Amino acid sequence: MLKFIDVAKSRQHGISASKHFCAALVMRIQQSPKLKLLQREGMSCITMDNRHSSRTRRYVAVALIIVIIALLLIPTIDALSVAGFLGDKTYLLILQDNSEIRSTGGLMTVMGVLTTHNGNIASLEYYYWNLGQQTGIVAIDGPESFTKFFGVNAAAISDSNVQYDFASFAPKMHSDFYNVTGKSVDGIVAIDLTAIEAVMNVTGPITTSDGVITSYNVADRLHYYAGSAERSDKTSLTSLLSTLTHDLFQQIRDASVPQKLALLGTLRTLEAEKHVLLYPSEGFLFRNAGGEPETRSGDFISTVDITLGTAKADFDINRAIDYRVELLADGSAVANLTISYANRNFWDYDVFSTTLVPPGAELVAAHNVTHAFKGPQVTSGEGLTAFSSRLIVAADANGSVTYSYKIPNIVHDSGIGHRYDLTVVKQAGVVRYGLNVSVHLPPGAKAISTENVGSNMVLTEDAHISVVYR
Amino acid sequence: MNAKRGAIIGIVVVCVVGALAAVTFVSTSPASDIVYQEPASAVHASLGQTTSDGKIALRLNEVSDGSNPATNSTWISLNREAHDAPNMPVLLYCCSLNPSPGEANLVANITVTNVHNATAPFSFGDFVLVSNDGKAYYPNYVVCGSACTAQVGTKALNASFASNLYVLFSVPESMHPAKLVWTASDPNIIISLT
Repeated sequence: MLKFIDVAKSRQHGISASKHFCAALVMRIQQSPKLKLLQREGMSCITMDNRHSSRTRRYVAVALIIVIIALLLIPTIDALSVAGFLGDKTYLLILQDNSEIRSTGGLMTVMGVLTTHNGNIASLEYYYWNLGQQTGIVAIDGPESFTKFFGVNAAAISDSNVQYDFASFAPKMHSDFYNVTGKSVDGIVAIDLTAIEAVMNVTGPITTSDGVITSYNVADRLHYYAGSAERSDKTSLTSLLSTLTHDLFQQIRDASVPQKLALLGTLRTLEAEKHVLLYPSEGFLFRNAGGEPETRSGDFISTVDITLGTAKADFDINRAIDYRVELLADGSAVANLTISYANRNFWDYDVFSTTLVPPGAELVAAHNVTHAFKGPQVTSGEGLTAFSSRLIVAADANGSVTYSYKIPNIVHDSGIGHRYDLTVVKQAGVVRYGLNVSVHLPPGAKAISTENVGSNMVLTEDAHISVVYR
Repeated sequence: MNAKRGAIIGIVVVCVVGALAAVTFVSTSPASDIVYQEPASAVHASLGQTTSDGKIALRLNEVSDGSNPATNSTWISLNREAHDAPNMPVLLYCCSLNPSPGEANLVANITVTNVHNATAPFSFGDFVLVSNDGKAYYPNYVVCGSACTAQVGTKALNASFASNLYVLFSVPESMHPAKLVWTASDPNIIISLT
């Protein structure tokens, strides 16, 4: 049914609208010198065989052409743009250490300014922010849950990522970084240790003056240099990172086609799991990389943790979310939410945990199983209610906090009955949660369909749960 | 025409399957698996035997799993010592010895002595753990006593240095260690675990 035609033929025999459309699209590509290489590399159109043409088939053909061009062209343009082929690009590269969880993914003691030019690194300079130093202090203008709990309005730039998500934080960081360093950047790329391990698992090891760095040892080696380097600017750490960045960039550029495909798949997974974040969102390819604010609707749970000076603990913390919601006949709900931490470290774990739930939620009770506890504090924000607590979980022990609350008007009418939707938002940097969700219907109601309701689920990216009943 | 269409569809199917197979192959063959190439000449030693390159003397005492209670206890004790010692550059605990899913944490207990009568350069990153199927794994972290930690951190061992080092290697769960190699000397020192 389908056959490939080239543009010249379509113009010579060009009768159908679909062919004219195809030709016009490709001519636009041809007229753009920056995109000519795409056309030379086999950009072509698909249309229907003339002998079987019909109006419907022409429309299908046009749709197919548009989809194929979009699938090929738009990501390629994005990639070329990021790599500096369409003009130099300068990025603030933030290494978020997700073994010390912060709201947007991790502690940001190391940042680099990276400029790309025609697929190469034109310049790269890393900064180390010593938490004890007095330079790089920036104002914090929220969220209220954090500023009110701790009574602070400023923080070191490396610890200033206290907003609920990267999209809220990145614009402020963009201006803060300029104010502190005088350097202006086109965008911000934030990656964590999980992302570096995953990328190196595809690209392979890197040999440095301190030995071979692989996906198995990269996180611990960076921690070793962060902890052991004597000088306050941590030269050995930043020089190792420079070597890693240059070599990784080169390995990615020189990778075979199968490796590039594997890398693309890895990056898409890391993007979905919020281990790679980009601001502003770059077109189609990186459309989900955290540059846009999350839209919260229906019921939702978003747990945002900040660890408080408890070292590299978070890879040995097992988190779980247990949610039991009872839907009432009037469309409201009574919810019981337990956030658990299994601390497998040999030292205590100190965490400030904020849980975001729908606006109008009313906290009825809270209880905790922890070594020490402060809270809960209830604040409101735009489109949300925040429950905040500080927990200390003893070494090799489990800790938890449970919130019981009422949610008004959380059930909506659908065409065939009533519909309840829940989104569980995964915090950037956290590797995984255990997730247990149970939904109890009003007396006499019968479920028509359910999605992702159950126990022992593993959450590595945002999850959507729904129940339709009547 | 049908044959032509069939050929085109066939080519497309082959391309798609090929690409998927390539992606699958790459993603299921971790690029971090490195085959160890043993040099033509090397100094060989066995577990518990001291050997030297003229500057550093090494004795491999044990390679144990992080789940071993004695290993875990020593690891925690030395981490705390490094963390709590005054004026130490090391300010953090490294990590518990709980492995990531699919991995194991092995700890090599090595006695390192400076036999050079002068400061000797030293990097724990120059150790390599080799599996019985010839794959090489590189160190993650090192702990030792507080006096040792300061010197290892600066990559220079004093003339009188002598201490036990506990070098952590994260490896695949199924990995069986066969030898430890010290690659900083010429020739390399290869210590067999058997």
